[in-house]
Amino acid sequence: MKFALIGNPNVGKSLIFNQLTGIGVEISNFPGTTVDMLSGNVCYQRERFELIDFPGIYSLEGSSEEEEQVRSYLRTNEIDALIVVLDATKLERNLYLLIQAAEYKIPMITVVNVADEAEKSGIIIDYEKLSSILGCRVIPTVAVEGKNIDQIIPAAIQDAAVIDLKVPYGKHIEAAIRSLVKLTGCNRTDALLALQGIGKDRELMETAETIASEIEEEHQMSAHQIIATNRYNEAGRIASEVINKSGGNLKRLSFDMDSLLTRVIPGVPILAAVLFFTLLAVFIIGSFLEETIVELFETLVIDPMYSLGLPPFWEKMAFSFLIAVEAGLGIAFPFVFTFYLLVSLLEDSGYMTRGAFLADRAMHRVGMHGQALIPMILGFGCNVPAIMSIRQLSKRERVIASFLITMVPCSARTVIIAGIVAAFVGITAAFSVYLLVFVLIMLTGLVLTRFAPGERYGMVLEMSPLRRPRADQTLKRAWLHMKEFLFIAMPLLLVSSVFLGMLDYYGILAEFQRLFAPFMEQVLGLPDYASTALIFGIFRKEMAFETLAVLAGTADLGAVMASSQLYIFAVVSVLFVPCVSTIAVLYREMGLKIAAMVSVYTLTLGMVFGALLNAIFKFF
Amino acid sequence: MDQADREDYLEAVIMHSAEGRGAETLTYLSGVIERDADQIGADLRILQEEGDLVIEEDGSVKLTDKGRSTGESVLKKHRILECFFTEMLGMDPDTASKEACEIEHAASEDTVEKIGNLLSVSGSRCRGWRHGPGFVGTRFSGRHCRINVIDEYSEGDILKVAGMRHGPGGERRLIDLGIIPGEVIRIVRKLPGGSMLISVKGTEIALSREIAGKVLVEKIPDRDRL
Repeated sequence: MKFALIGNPNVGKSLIFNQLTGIGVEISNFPGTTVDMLSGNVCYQRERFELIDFPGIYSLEGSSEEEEQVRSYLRTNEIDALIVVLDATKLERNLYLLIQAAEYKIPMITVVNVADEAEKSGIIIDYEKLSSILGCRVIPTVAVEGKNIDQIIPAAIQDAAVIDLKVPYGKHIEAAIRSLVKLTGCNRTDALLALQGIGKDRELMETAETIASEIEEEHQMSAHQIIATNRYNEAGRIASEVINKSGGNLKRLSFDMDSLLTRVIPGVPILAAVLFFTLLAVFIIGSFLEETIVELFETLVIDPMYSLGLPPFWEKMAFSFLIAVEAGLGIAFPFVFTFYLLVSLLEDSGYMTRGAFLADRAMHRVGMHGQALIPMILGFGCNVPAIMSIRQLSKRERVIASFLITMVPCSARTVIIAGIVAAFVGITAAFSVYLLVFVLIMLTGLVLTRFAPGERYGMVLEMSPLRRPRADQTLKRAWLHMKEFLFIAMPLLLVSSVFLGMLDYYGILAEFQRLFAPFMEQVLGLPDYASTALIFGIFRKEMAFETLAVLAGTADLGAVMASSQLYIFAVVSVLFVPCVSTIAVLYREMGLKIAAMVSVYTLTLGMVFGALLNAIFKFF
Repeated sequence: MDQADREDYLEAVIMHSAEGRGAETLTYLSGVIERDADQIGADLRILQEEGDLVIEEDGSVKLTDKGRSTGESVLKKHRILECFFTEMLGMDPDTASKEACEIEHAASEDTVEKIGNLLSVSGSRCRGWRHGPGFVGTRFSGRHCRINVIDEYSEGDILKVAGMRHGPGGERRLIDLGIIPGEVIRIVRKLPGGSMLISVKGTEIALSREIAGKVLVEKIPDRDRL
């Protein structure tokens, strides 16, 4: 048997899924983080059931990717029971989705989550009455405490029933449905969807369009609006019948906090401070952990490998592999994990959505809107998960975001800035690199807003309630961000590192270096071995730094290269070409064209700024 | 006489109720159409030959079915276009009227109809063209109508949703979030940039300025309604 969980974003659906299946899945406090459908197994009385967790959606009739995904799944797959998860504090809005789902005539049960929060804020729900109105089993739950979660599966097996809610859509819509059913032989659900412009059958769509425009003319409202309004009226009617608002309307924590967090003053300074200290903390904690881990890895793994006395080729391969693992652990854990831990804290507390709201206007300047703030921030950790998280944006914004995110200095680039500029040139110079990058990101955004194709779109974002983050949830979320890094970026890292080792072993790199030496020296003012370091940087950003140290023959780079050279090297390697993992993800998410355009653009940017800086330094 | 002139005549006859005016028909028409009476007289005879109208013995004109339907169709196009220019494009009424006079002849009925749909869905303030040919006089219900886009209101205002403007994307999501006609919403926060937080159906939703500019609302003076 197959069950599926459906509900609005943030109702605790994923948490319920976790508890039922025991798989670690992200508990999203940010709308749309679980884009992919998750599937897990539940055992009950020695039988195995498949459980699917749909992404959180507000409607089954919208045009977003998640909504389309769920809709097509519901229509093409056999589901034995749909478990509709509702948020008790927003019952009316959640019932709207339930009413839509009921049109699909799939047996269902209803779970009303956060029953405790509702009660605290004075919303008393008569669950029995709700059950009798809907004609299906209703289970009040408190997912964070695991309360009543054990009743869900038995109920889905025994009590799931097709809900027969008759929403009065009005005589025009009903007549339209009847004639569509008669004319094209479709069913009621198809007809309702077709009237709202959703469907694939050409004949049905054309007929529906004609009828819909007649209705629109008559009512001065689109068919979708009329249908939605009637559903909301029904939802409102049900909600008012089952909800008893007791007078004790407790003030919620979020009320007072919000007046601080969502105003320009002090909201924007708070947002800036939050972001700044997050990055600073990552910088400090990350560098500290990195040193420790790398040192341990060198003495415990790399040195023993050398003492094995492998044949030269295999020694090179093993070294390339291990150095990649070392880099992964040295960067992934210290920088990326610290970063994601802090970001998860921001997401879980509900602060992220406030930040997005405040950043909306600024983001408009660079062609995006508030919702794109989160991917941009994620980019500071690693560009790969950041690019994976832009799916919820519109096509146009995805294109712009692809460019801007790949320019965001990720933790690997932070290592370069810290290791080369901060260490040998000075902390002010290090900040100036960040500043330069930020200015370039903004300029790129300003230019792209003019040229990026597609419609401009704006932010429509539900605020997550402010909650005290729970340690287990935050850790779990951080781990999930990590998992994207470990399973997508890491394998690419390993492969490219071994590949690079091979190139080096067969002397191809030396040839390359010779070829580019004149360019390096004359245009960028860098020593010839810098080109090799930069190429390594394509495979893994921070390797540009490590390789430079290896090739220079000393870790004390300040002794062999001038400050200006180090600065130029850092700027070029930070700006130019995203790493292979990023390119691969860009290719997967956005296609070849965008991946190539981003690569060429950043390459040009790096070279141009390197050359410019060289010219400026020479002049002075 | 070209098609545009013909349409102008028929439109004018309907718009200015020029039928059944007996002997003064020509003087009357020369008052509303910028041509001299002789010219108008000659043109009317051509229209009679073409079967658009009948000139009766007392000098009155009477439209035939064919003439009436052409005239009404042009008049409707004129009103829709004029409304579109002033309401959606923000042109001043004079220019809008002149432009509409030109375009009404070239644009197909279908195209103008679509513009009309757009206007009605967006909850346009001017409904004049909907009243049919019998409706003459002010074409706009005027400024006293309190329907406005939401971003013209400020923090703390309690508003009732009146409709939604069409535009790229977004409106479906807004409707699904409960921003439907008749719904009472409150502006929780409005930033200087125009982004706002609105409270609807027990949740708070952040909107960009251009999205907020799609929501048409009516102010509810009674603050107790939420």
